[in-house]
Amino acid sequence: MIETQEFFNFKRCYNAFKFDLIMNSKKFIYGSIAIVLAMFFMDFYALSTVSHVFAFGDYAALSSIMFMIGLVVVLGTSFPMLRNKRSSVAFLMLPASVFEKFMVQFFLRIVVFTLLYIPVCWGVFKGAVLFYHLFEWPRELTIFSFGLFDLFHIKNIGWLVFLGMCCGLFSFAMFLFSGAIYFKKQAVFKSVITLIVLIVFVSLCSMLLSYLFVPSLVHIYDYGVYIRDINTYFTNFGLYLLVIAFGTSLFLPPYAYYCLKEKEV
Amino acid sequence: MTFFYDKKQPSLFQNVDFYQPTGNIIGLFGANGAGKSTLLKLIAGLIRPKEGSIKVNDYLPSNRDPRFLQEIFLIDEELFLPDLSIKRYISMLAPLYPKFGHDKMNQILADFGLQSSDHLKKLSMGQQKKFIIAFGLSTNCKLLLLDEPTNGLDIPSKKIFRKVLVNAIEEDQLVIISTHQVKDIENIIDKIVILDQGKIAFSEELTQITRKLQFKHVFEEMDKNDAIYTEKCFEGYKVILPVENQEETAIDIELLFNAVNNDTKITM
Repeated sequence: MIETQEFFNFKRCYNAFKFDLIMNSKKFIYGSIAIVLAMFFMDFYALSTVSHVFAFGDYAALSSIMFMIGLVVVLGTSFPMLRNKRSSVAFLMLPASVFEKFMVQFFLRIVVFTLLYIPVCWGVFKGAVLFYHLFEWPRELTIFSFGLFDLFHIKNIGWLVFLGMCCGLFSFAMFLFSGAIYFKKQAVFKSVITLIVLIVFVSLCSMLLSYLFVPSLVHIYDYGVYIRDINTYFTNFGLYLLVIAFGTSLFLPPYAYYCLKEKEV
Repeated sequence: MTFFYDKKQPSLFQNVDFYQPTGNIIGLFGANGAGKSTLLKLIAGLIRPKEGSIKVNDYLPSNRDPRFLQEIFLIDEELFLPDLSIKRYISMLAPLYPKFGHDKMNQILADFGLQSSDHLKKLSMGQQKKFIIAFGLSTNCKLLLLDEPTNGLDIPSKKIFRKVLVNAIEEDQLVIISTHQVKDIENIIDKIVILDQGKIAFSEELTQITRKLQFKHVFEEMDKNDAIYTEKCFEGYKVILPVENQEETAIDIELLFNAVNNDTKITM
């Protein structure tokens, strides 16, 4: 009979969470300061280089890029105790279940980071705008005003696209999360390289299939054939990406868990 | 249980069979590369056997069941200690060990001359070792695995370590100490286990050894039929003999280890 105590106990999970917070408190503090400063400088750079208007689209693009970079840094450095042999022994011997250890990192690195990112990104942008206005600039810049949650206006993109984006982001996050468990050294770098290799591989496969089935429509690297609209916001290629995003978001969490469960020193 | 790191190399352990109840302090000996640390890691579930299985307290270690992990503490040869004070470290980790004894911890820290305000990273290697030994003993885990625990300890600290260990261990606990420093633990162990060529070549309680074997220093070489093992030393020979006339001698663990290592057949 499977006992739940084997997998999850709230008190034990809380203690494991406290352990991680205390153990990595300095890294969290210095890391957060570094991320906020990096965001501030990226916002300021964007404001000072944009032509005459800084619209919501510019903010959405900028915050999305910064979020992706943040994910790479925060998730690529998850499970910090697995980076060397000594701390790996301490981590694996910690009296908490594999599920609890997994959930602590998942909660801290994905849930907390995502929830904090939205207000912090908005606040830092407002701070960058104030800082921008401290200086005299040769050109007039119009900065549109937008609210904290304007990024989530689904009606502008359609729910299917929004779902695809969420799945894609989750898959991307879980890929980095798995990489942090799988790779012992330079997990961030190796995860990003692996992702690039995978994307190139999928592109080459698509190209090969296009050459095989519709050679007359392929021009060297241009193999984007048969793109059709499914609805106002969605094409068949978008659906293809959605299937990949949805599939990988289902596959990667158990894979990451399995990697952690099978980890040896 | 069978284990190897590399398929192309000979197995480190081949069909090893070992059972040990609680209530003992075991000295685990073996030449360099015999697999002492690997055996401890297998018992701790940090690596998995390639064939067969290991059961500790009815748990498969490699499953890393939290209830198993709450009852085992490994003091590795290479320590990992964070940049925290002793007090903070205890408050962080002790809640994860349900049987942790804070009074015991304070007592052992006092015995080792450590303060709870001391910063772990600022301690010397020997002091760090003392701290982790104190913490490990205070967890009151059923199984304590100590890999070279006396490395880095000065002579007075080794004496304190022996005293602390003997006082801290209860009947329902088992301690396995892997070490090269035979002298450091010879008075506290009650069983000797020697690893050699992928097997447990020798495994006996000290009481049984003293009942069956004698360890003597003689000035002239003995007849090979009389001695189980002979080794030349300064001013004569060290010998292992079968017990005669119920005369008990102190166990020379080094001599016993050399005898086992030289494939001497020791019948108990």
